[in-house]
Amino acid sequence: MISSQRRPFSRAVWTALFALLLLLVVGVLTLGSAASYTGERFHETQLVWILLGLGVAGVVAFLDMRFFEQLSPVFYWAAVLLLLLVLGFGKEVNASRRWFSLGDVSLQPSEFAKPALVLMLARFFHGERNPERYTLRMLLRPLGYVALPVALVMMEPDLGTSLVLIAVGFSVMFFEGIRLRSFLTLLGVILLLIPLAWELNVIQPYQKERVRTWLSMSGARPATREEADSRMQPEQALWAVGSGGWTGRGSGQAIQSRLRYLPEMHNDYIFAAFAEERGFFGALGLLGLYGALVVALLVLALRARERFAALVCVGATAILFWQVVFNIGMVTGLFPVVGLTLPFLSYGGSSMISSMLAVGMALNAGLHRGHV
Amino acid sequence: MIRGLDGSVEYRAHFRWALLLVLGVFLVLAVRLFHLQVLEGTRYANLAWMGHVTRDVIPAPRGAIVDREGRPLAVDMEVADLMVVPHYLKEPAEAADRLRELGVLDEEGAASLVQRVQQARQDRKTRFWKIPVVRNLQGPRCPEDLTPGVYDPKRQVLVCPVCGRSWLDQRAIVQAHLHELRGFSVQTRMVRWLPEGALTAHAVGYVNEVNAQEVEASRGALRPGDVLGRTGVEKAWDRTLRGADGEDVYLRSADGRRIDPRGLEGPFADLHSTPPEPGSDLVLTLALDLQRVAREAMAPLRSGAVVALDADTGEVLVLYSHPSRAMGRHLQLDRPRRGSSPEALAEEGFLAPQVNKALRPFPPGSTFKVFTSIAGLMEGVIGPDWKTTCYGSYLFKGRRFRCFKRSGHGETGLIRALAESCDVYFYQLGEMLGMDAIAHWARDVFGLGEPTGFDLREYPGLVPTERWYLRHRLSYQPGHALNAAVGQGDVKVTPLALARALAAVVNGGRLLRPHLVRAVRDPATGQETPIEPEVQRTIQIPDAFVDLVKRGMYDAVNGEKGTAASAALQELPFAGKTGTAQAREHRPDGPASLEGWLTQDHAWFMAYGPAQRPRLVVVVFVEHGGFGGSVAAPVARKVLEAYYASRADEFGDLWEGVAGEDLLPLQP
Ligand SMILES: [Zn+2]
Ligand SMILES: [Zn+2]
Repeated sequence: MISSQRRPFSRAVWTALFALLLLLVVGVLTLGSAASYTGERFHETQLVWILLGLGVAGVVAFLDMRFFEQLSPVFYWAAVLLLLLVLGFGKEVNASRRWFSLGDVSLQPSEFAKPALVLMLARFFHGERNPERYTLRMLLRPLGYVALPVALVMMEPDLGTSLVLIAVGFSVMFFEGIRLRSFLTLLGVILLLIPLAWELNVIQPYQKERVRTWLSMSGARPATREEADSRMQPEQALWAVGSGGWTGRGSGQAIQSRLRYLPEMHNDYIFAAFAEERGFFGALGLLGLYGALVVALLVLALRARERFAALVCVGATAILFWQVVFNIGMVTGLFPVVGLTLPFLSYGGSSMISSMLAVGMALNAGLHRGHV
Repeated sequence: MIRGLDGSVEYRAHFRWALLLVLGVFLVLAVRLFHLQVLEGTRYANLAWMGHVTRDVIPAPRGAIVDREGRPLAVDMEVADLMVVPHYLKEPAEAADRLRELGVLDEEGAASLVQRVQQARQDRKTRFWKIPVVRNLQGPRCPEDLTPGVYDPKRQVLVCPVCGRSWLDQRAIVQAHLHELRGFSVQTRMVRWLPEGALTAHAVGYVNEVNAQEVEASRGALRPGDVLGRTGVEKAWDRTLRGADGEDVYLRSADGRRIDPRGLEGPFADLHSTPPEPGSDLVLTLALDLQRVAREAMAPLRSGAVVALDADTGEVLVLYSHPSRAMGRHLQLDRPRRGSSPEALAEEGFLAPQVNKALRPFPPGSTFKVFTSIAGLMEGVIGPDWKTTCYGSYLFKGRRFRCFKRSGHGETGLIRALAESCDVYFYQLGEMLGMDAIAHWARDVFGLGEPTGFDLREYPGLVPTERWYLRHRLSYQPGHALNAAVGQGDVKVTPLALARALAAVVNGGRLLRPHLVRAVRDPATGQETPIEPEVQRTIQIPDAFVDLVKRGMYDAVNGEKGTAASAALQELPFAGKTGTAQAREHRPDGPASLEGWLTQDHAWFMAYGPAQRPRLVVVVFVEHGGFGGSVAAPVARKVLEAYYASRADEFGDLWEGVAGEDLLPLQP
């Protein structure tokens, strides 16, 4: 094993760390504000998860990249195995099996599938020595690497994570240099697969319901009570975001949150609570922080010395980026409800640690010189 | 593969694309946020502010109805029901035994509870539905008169200081033991309590819930669950009794909790709840004690009505239709009648207990002669001294009109004709007057066969004219006038209209609007707005004529040969006129036991008293009762007696004074 040499912190690293710190502060403040409505003091527990997450990020950031490269098939197939096991032995919550229950601790294998997929793809492309752009035929293997965990996660079912996996896979391939024609072909295939999945009931009825809800949300009054109920949560989130206005209602004045019309206020819908309190300016600021983090991490990818590190960095960044986009898109009604957390803001250990893992992987690329 | 120190050239292009993608996607999100928060911000803010405002109706309490002394006739009352959710009752037998120990359930009720709970527990859905265990738990007030009970520590029961009955305060017992009765709960609801039940059923009426069509037709004035007066005063005075509902306005959270809007910014300052405006109470003119006397007097009879009017004001003191039955669905407090055979029930149904016979027209018979007399005198057809001779019948145009007294009355003047009810006298008078003159005086002057303007719905009846005969019977025969003169033929009047007309005769010619509501009372302050007597018409009749008619009515009761002599009151005489109207009916739908009854005459008696100073007019109608003097007159006498007793002070001088002879002109 060749030892790697550490680089000094670049401006990009500092920017990324600073943005991350601010996001964590905003997250704790938002949870604290939520506590004033619900009385549930999640922000205190969240501090524990943040410390734990930072530890994970630090360890991952300073580990040797070689270690990841060599072990990536192990991680990948372990993740796939876990995904298989969770289908059989997972704890059923709300009609889906996503979690292993180990005493007090719950483990969500799909959270590990995301970094594992990134490592596997990076290793594959690292091994390919074709400087030219890839053809569709050459992409069959990496597509298989993506499709396997996506299919398993779909079966849980967990539409949100499947979408993130697909998006991350595409991001890595795209960055590596996929042909435009191939890219368009793939896109076409996926667009064809969606109605097929719909028809073959791979997409669960409740997921279909959410899509219908989303499609009808801007429409007229709900026709039935069931429709009104299913519409309620996303609709109430829209009310919350919208009522923020330019500057927001201010701390403790968010009526939607106060009246508890955001049932998952600490979790998937924390952006709604934030946007109601802080308004358009606050939301823009938050997008700016995520943007700064993502761009800074991408800059690290550009500076990476080897293909593997660069692709890991891009993949890890893509995990964060797409999760932010899908979550905010869902809360603001751009996408149907998919059930994803917002990195660094949503409450919970699983979300925090997996987001920190991604940050650590991305930073790793920028902190190591690679092997000589 | 190792690339250049500053990253590969290959990736640099891709990095730019990636940067563009990130910026582009974030721009889309920012535009979406701008749309939601800035462009649509106000709309969403309003939705968030006002979308959770809940408006609950606070129903206004319905006004109470009391009699003229303030005794309750219809009041809104909160009753408590003991309920149970079968799911939580694993050992229904144990719970039933405990409730029996506590004195809340009897043996029958306990068995029924066990059975119903076990049945409901069979089904996954019904086991969660509340079922009633005891309706109307006995409270701290007397079930009979609502007086708060006094605790008797020896017997451990409550005792009514008014009527002396004793009972257990089940509500307090249940509340005290509710913690050990898992699955049980006490639920309160408002009912319209009609303490007098059938006694005042026709006058007071009943309420029940509005139906869907009525809600729709009201255009927002009524809501589902509202109650509406259906008959009687409840219907006629519904608006006054109902009041205006209030509104409870508050913020409701997603989990259904009430949120105090204070401390929140926004348009909540404009939100305010409005308290309900309670409906007004009504003080009726009814005198409950007289009503009760009327009912008791009518009890042995099959069917009929009693009306008593204050001759000076038109206040209705008695309005009783027989038989009566408590009506409406809000009468859970009424105990079921026991021991009624199916035959008796069929008979009762045939007698139409739901019909208020005081407001239905029937042929008035000889009571009508009073008005024929006045018509004759006023038209100048007869003088006060005019006499005729009765041979028991009168031959008119080849048709024989019989006198009520077959052997004949002999030489008869007006007073005697009234007192002994000589039909021949009135046949001749009718012949002289003609149909239209009779109709003019009876209808246009005394208001018979016309609506009286009474609070409740009435069916006015008919006093026909020649024109009416031409239109409805194709031809008019002079014989019709003879029949009309004695209150037969097609003449039909209501007991109430008859009472009003008699009051006008004895009160100096004031035709009054009979009314049932004495005052409208503010439930909060108790302040009463009286309903003033209303003179509809003033009738000018020379005193001499009135005295003559009065004398005839005096003799009818107090004269030796008077038709109602058997009902006379010696101490404080009253006067009146009997009526016996032929009303042979054949109704094939009726029960066999009533066939004979249907062939009998209607018995009438209209009276006023005291004879010297008329204050109360009483009209008694007994459907197919037979002879007015012996059947109807005793009923009127009992009502008048009770009336005198209740006003002993007022009539003190009369009690002591000599008989009415002094006050009345003596005529042969
Ligand atoms: Zn009592
Ligand atoms: Zn005669």
